[in-house]
Amino acid sequence: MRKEFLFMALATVALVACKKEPTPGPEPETDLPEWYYTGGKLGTTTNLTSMTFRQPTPATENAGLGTMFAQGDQIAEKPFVTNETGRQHGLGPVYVRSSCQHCHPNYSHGTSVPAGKYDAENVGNGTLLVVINPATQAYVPWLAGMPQLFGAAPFKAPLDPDQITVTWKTVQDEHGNKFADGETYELRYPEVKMPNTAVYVYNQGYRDPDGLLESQGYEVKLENTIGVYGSGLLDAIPDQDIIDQYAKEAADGKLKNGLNPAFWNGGFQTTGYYKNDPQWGPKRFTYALTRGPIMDAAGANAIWNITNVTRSDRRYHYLDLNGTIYAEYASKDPEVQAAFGTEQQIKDYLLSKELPAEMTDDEFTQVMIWHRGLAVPAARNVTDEKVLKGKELFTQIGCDYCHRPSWTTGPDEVRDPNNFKGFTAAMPRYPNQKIWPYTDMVQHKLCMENDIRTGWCRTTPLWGRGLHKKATGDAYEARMHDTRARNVIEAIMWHGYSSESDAYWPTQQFYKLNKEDRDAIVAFINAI
Amino acid sequence: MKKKILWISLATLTLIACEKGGTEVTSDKEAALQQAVTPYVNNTVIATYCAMADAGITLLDQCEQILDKVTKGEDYAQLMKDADASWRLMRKHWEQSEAFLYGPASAHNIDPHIDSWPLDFNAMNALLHDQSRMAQIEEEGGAYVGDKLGYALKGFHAAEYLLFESVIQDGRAVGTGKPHATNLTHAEAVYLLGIVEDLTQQAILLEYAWAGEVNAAKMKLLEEGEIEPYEDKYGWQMMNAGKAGSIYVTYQEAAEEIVAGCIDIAGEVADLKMGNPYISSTAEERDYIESPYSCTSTTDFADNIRSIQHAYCGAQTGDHAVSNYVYRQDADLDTRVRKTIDDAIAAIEQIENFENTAQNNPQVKAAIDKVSALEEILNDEVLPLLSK
Repeated sequence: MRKEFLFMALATVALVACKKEPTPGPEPETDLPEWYYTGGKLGTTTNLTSMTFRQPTPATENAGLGTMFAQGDQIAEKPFVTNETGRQHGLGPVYVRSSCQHCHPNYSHGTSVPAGKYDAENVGNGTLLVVINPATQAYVPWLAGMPQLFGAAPFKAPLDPDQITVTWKTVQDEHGNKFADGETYELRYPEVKMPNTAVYVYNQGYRDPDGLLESQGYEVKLENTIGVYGSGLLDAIPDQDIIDQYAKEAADGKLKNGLNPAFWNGGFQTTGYYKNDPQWGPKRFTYALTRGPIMDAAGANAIWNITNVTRSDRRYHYLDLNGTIYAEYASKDPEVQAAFGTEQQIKDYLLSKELPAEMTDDEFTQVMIWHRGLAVPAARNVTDEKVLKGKELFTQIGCDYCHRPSWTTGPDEVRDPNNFKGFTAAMPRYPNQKIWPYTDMVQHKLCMENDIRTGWCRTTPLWGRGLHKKATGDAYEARMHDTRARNVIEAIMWHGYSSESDAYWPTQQFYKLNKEDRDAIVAFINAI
Repeated sequence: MKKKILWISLATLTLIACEKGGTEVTSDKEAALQQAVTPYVNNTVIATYCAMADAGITLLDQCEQILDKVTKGEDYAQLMKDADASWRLMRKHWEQSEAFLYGPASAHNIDPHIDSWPLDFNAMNALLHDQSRMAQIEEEGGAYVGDKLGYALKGFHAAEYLLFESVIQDGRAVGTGKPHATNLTHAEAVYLLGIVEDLTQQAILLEYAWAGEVNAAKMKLLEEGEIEPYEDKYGWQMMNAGKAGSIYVTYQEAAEEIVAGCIDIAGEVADLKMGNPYISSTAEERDYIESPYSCTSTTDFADNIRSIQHAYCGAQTGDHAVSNYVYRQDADLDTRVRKTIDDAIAAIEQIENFENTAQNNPQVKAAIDKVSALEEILNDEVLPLLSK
């Protein structure tokens, strides 16, 4: 059970101050700045221990949802199993990971990926393997967009993680990775090697019509998770405010790559709305901005398709992008047939749309209360002079253009595109909160070496990320979409690696700062 | 049922270095909490993990003998009883460590590695009939189990299933708490040995990660498994808050972590470990019971609260602890915390036959209330006091 530590109602706190001449009387007091409450007063936790990302929001507790939050937490934490009955049952027939915790250690973002064998079994490795056609940037049809790495016997894993390796390469930027004062930094990026023999359907005889398997012409990238906390608060940002942000950035004309035309092309595009429907608002979740309201966003999806645990509104399996290739080849596999049945029986099972629900509706509701109820850690060191200096510089050099500091939530009506049995009524809500996620909720291009798929990437919220090492024990901060940046400096300098990057100008301003000022910005970013 | 607390973390605002002639207003507090942290690390955390690993080594030896007897077709009833006792002892130390699941147990995933449930019976059955993988377990032992098997196939509960008797009721394995019959197959005995070797290695890793060293016998077990120990020196980090290399900036922060660990396990015991079986209404909910084969649930819960007791009061007579600091600030609060701990343990130990009677059992409800009260006083009063 994770506890909420509700911050002091009074907005002041005694400062522990040192004075040259100690004077009797009450300690001086100072106002806590509003950016201390990163998630607003309804969404911030002041528990800053290693369990910080596991805390419920005050709104969750206020609504009397603490026990359901704890139950959802337990479902997210425990591995699912391949049993046919009982708690956490239903894992497979193929799956990406067996628990939420695997990719979100202590509900932080995934940890740094080490060189060598890709270890999908390890809790902490939150990266997904992104296998694409480089010509179209589309996912290959013979795997899922999030390829499964495990099979529940007798089914075989679509990809064999033991055959996949990660190598870290380094590059130099225009400054030779060195500041004028001599301080150096390293820019590294991952390369993933995956032989065809790691692909189950290839081993079973499948060849794709584009010839990517034959030529080994596909690309494999890493894409790390981000923290689960604070998602409910981002869900509460009014639709129009997000659209206004697009309009502002379009009008400013400051971005080298402009805006993703799927979202803004002289106006907000229908394709920018979730399900192409204005009632669900602009897409706001995932790097690729593929998802809208949180009730049908990454977490609601992942609890089903990462584990392949069915539920009443998803009584089918997540297989490959094409939909039938895995089923076709698994059904012909003599070893699967020996254990499961005939080719037709295997196909019927894998492709059925009417499987029994393995997760109950109550359990799914608990998971979503937990998901929407995870608090954001309060900002740290908010009176520290170095941090305050960094805050000022963060704005001065233009970091805050994309890493927009704050938003104000709307009435937070909680929408569910799936209309899942009215369970939106049970959710914690965050109306009218000033929140500090440090993201503009818009995609930009950084044009990095071995970049993210398509190059477009939603500005990642910076809140809480300075606590990642403490929460996970990771040796590094694991910043950027594939954990390439081990610390804030590396992350910033990747933003200006290419002169084509939307963030090239502010990065060069950062480069020109002296060490004290650079360190101040780093301290600020780690404090928020 | 849920509580609101007031806690402002001054760790977010302090410490401020003092100029000559200034007053270091936190120094007394820091000194007091430093005194509490050192025995906590040495006598509570490291001593617990050391004892857990010791019990694991004994259990490992017994499981090696069981495999030998199974292979030769000899009787091993007494060995099974002895192994059960060793498992219970190792389990006791683990449960008495659950107030400090932060740090290495969490960062290196040792908690889910050794204490995940429910078991994956389908996968276990497939494994036991897979000659190729069983041959690898026989050859590589704990190293294979540790690296290649999912969390639902290893750790305490997989070992528990093979060491204790269970009977099938409504298609489900239900434990009796008695020793497993001496009918293990060769594959099961090989698997048991692999699980226990991995479990013991994980216990040694915990001890090493906190202490920075273990004895030669334990080091040898790691070396045999080609396992690199974790060089966290977490105990050093906690005892050296504020120094370069420590993740703790102040002893206050370290003390907050200690108490937050206590709150965390108290909440889990009340709301989930006891709470879920209490409110369960179907046979499936039996899966909520954490140690269903050894039937040690109430022992586990009481040991969880003892873990809090050791963290808050100190494990050995005369140990300085967070309690000493709380007593100096608010003697009545300290007295109430100690009494709440005692009351919680007593209420848990009143429960009879938890595994079969938890649902709507008033004894369980009484224990939940007592443990919730402990969670509440630590959360609402002790933590704010530390953070003042």
